[in-house]
Amino acid sequence: MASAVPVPSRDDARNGAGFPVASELECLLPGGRLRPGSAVSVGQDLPLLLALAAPAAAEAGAWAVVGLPQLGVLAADSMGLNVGTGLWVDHPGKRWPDVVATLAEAVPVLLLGPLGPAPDRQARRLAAVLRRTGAVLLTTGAWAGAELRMAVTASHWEGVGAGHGLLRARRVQVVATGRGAAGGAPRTARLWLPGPDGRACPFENIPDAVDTPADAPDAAPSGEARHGGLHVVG
Amino acid sequence: MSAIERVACAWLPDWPIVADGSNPDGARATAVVGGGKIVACSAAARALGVRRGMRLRQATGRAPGLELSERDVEGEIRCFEPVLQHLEQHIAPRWEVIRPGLLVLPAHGPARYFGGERALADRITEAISAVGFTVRVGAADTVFAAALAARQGRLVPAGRTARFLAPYPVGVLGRPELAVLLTRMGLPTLGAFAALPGDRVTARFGTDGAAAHRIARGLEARGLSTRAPGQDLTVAHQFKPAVALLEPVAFAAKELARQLHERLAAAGAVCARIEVALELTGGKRLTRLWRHEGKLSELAVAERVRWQLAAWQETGALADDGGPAAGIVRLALRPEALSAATGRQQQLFGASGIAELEAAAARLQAMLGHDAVTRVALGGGRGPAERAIRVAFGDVPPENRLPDGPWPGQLPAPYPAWVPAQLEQARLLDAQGEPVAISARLVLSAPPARLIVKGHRPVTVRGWAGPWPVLEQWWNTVRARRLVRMQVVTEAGPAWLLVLEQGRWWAEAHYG
Repeated sequence: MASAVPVPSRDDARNGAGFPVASELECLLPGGRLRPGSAVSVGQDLPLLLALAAPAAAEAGAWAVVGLPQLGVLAADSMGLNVGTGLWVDHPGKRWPDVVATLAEAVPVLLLGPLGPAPDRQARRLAAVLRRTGAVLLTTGAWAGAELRMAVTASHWEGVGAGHGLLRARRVQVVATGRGAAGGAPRTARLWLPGPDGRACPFENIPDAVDTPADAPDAAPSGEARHGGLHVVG
Repeated sequence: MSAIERVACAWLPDWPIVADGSNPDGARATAVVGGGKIVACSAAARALGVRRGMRLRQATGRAPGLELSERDVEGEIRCFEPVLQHLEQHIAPRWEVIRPGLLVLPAHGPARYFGGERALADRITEAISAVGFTVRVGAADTVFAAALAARQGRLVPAGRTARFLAPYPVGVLGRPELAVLLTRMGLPTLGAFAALPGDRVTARFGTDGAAAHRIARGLEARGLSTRAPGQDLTVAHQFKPAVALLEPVAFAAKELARQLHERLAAAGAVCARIEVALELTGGKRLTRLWRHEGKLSELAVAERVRWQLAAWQETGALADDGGPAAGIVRLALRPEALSAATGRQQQLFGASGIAELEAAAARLQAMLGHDAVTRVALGGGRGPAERAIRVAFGDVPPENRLPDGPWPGQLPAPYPAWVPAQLEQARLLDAQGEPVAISARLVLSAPPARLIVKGHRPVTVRGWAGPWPVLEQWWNTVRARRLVRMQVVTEAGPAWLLVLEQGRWWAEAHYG
């Protein structure tokens, strides 16, 4: 089998600590990295999915998305995901566990849409393939085998007022619960997702919030950040 | 698969020996050597057991008196050029050179003109006999099969190519490793190999194995790209003033070959053949097709151009019809019959794991259909959906996508993470429960209060931005679009991108 040939990058990942994630999300993951062969559920939040996938895919080289035709390509691009290296299987059909298992043989980072529950036998087989190949599964919606479940519990878009402004960045609170190595009390992270540059960014890095005056006095407003992208009018 | 391609092949046996000229009737045991191996041998040498591809030592062991000569490709082409010109004048203009002594021709048109493939074959035989050489002509559905058919002088009927190929040993595929493997697996013939299911072959042997499998099944190795390239990949060099000497042209050919391969690589394509075109001062134009199939290196292309130039000069084709000294004005290399290259993936993913990735994609395509596995390229456009272009895995990306811009009215960052393929029906209501309307001067009838998107729970509106008008293709009455976009933030957190078109609200995207 072709898969018996070791792929250096993935072997390193398995021996080391896994795939990196954005620094703001590190506190949510055991060891601060995505463990190879594990599945992480991100709830319904696609920006969170992209934020987790981008650094992992950058390290792995290839990624694939299954059953998620609505995933915003521009958002993925601005989140730092190299869209050109992705494989898209928009409609995997009923045999989606086969599709995912086939992809897991070759692609180290897999993004899954809401595909519904897998039959037991196929779910076990899929888990075995993931353990063997070290591929990481990032799923939206429920996933029975997820080691870690994340959810955006609060979100707030900045930049839009009553008839003025422009969406600029989103403050979110992400809660993670897990089992095994990822177990313990729920962990919480607060961050910008996406920040003004489209990527995940630490909370304190954006001083200027347009419609929440309480946040404003922290630091001097950055003119570039505020006006970046206002060329839409006209 | 509606119209089966027909290919005629003309094979002039032992061309290196014939071109050498020292052994015209093949009575003496002679052989031409290239790279330490036998390239061609005369009939007498063959009778002694010498074969093509044999090592030199082995060959001289079998035929101790074997006369050897070093291969001279340029001489072979020079000698072949008059034959080609004769064929072009008397049969058809679109001959394609695989190598000197082996030619193919798309047979459909000529066969109809001459009244059948048999008549076409006879014409070719006559034409080549007229210039004093022997030829065998074959025809089949693919270039590969036609070349084999030519060795037997057979015309394989349309649709019977797979059956014709079936008894051949797998060694004829020209892939020694694959051949050894298949023989060990108990699949010694093309027929046995062709009987394997395509997706299994791809999974086991990779894309090259899949190409070999297609050949064995009587199909061309690569499906031609169905997309017509909007961009012409031709590379050309103008000579000012016109040059009469060949050296500067050959030098330019080297650079052109480099440019051509760069362009092909950038387009993610390989070409089946390249056309070498030369323009002379008198307006005369010389062209010649060479088989490429992604197998020729830059150097090999440049070499072929140089040989071709020498051959043209030798036969006097470069001379103007009136006077002897015509100058060369322009040299162009044009790739034809593009198909997707597998090398592009190599560029994207690096060398490791690429075979696995291609195999996985090919298996999924076998399972779900060719268009089910796609890649995405970013293009121009205003809305979030129209900027993503889906290309089936293994296809050549379209060149006629929307340009990069500027696109006034383009949606700025941050971009929505959820973009449905079809707009979702939505209703934007004011505090009284009336739909919010927007006047021609972009004034809202009332502040929006509630948003109802089909398939989602009704939500309370916290803020909104816009409206921004977009007027697209107003010059075209059919394709003209006039719409208004608005960003709406809800109380619960999520933000929507809404579109108002012809009085109706739609949810175009969701920001998360």
